[in-house]
Amino acid sequence: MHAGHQSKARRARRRAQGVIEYLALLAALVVAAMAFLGPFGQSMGDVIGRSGESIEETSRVMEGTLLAALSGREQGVPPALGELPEPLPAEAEDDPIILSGGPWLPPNTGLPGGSGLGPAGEAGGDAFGSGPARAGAPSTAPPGAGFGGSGIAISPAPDAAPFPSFTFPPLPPAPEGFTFISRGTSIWTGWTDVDALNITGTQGVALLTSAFNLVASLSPFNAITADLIAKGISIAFGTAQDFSGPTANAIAYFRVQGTAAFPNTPVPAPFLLFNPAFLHDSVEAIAATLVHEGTHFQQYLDGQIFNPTQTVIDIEFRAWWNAAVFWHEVRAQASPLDTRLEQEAEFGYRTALQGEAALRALIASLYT
Amino acid sequence: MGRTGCRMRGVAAGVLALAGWASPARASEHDAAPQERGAPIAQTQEQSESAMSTEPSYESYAGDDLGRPVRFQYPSQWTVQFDAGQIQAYRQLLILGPRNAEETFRAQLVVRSSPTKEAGGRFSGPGELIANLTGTVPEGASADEGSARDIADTPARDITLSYVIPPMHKTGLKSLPIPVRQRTVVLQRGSELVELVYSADAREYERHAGAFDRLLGTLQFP
Repeated sequence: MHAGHQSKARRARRRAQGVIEYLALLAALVVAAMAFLGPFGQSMGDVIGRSGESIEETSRVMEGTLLAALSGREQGVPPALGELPEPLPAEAEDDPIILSGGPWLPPNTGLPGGSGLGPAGEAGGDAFGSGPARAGAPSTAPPGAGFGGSGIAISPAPDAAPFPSFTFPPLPPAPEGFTFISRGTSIWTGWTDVDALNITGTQGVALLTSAFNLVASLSPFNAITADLIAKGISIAFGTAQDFSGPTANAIAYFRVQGTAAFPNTPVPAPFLLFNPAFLHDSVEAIAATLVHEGTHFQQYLDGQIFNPTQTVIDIEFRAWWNAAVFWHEVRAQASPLDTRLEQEAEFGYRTALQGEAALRALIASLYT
Repeated sequence: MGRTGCRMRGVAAGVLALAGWASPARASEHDAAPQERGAPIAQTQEQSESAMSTEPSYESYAGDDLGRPVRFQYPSQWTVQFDAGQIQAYRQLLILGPRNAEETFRAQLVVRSSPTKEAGGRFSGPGELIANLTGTVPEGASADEGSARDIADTPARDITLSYVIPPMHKTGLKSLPIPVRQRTVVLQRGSELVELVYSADAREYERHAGAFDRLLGTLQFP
């Protein structure tokens, strides 16, 4: 008798479980149908007398309920291995770039999350370091799944070969024509040479002197230092107040003060000023900056910066190019390239190696 | 709950997975003609309105600045600048778009023509050009090379690079790191190498990707 009661109770429980199971299945089917038909929105809403928003809201609530039931965590029951479905493949994981939803970090740089950005937004030291091995990880994207490549009138070639992963080649050698751009004839015909090295100031004099001597020791870059000496151009580290507004984070600038006496000695004379925020950067990087700003001085001498047909791309290209050619000579001795200026110089150098066209295109995106 | 619970969870999860798979697929179909079908679901409506408001108008470039006739379409609000090499042999059209939100980088399309090595240029073909490009990107870059494809009836190679421009400490520039995504399509026509480039702040890359698709799809060498 007792056994009979137990058996009846078991049957009743099974029936109840069966009803619950079918109710859950029905609910899941409704959710699936709503999700599937959701985009048809209005017609679906008309059919069942609900707006699209309420359908979506209902779906969300039901999904939440079912997912909570699935996880069993609310009841403190850990999901057993094999009971839960395999996670759906996350499409976004194929994309190494995080486009939104948090601070952007460069892929594969080893930059620790959330660090490396200073108050002025300047990069952490190791983000663009110069380890001997290329850090680019092989792509996990499926073949042909390049970014933004859909929806255009192109067709795969018959012999299309997939590229499931990518290996970066080594840095190529400098090409022919990767040479210093010399200045033209000086337009300052009445400006008498003073032949004086004019590194001044109370701080960073030794660093500037070392950088100046490095440039002066290398031909043809010494044409710049020769011009600076000939005209006695003042070179110094300024104060923090000297670097504000458009020059706020600049490492240095070439300042033209007056041209009224042209073509005679300009009064006051132009000068080169360095930012004290970089007092502890490397001699090579400061020297590369001297080449960049010194090229602007040479453009002042040969009149390029006064030529109305010259664009900002023309003006900046010559300075970037000369600094890149100089960096090619000194980057090995500057290695490891772990300062802000070294990383900047290295980037300009690599772009210049891509070619004149690529460097000018970069300058257009940065400066215009 | 034992096996019954397990079965319930499995069935329900499968149905949900089906729903999750089906929903975006249907949404994509719907996006193709949002006005005709109506867009009662808020998210879809926003996407449709956004797509409509950012869809640029296009105009055609037809000229021989590259040393041969070329035609393509580009966003009418963008500006075209011609540029020719003074050190290296090339001609290019820089098509400059809007600056990014941080005001550090301008989106850009490039149509560039250069001679092959045999004709006095640097590279013997697209393979060498891409090797040079990928060999010089900054440390930490990533790359995705798509399948070979035809552009303007010519086989082309297609590579997308993602890298970071380190903060630039130059007058007039904000010293902020700039994540860049750059897609380059290279094809060879006789002794000419043609590079088609789209570069933008990676965070805003998709915003103008359609403009590059349009350029690729309309490019002609008549």
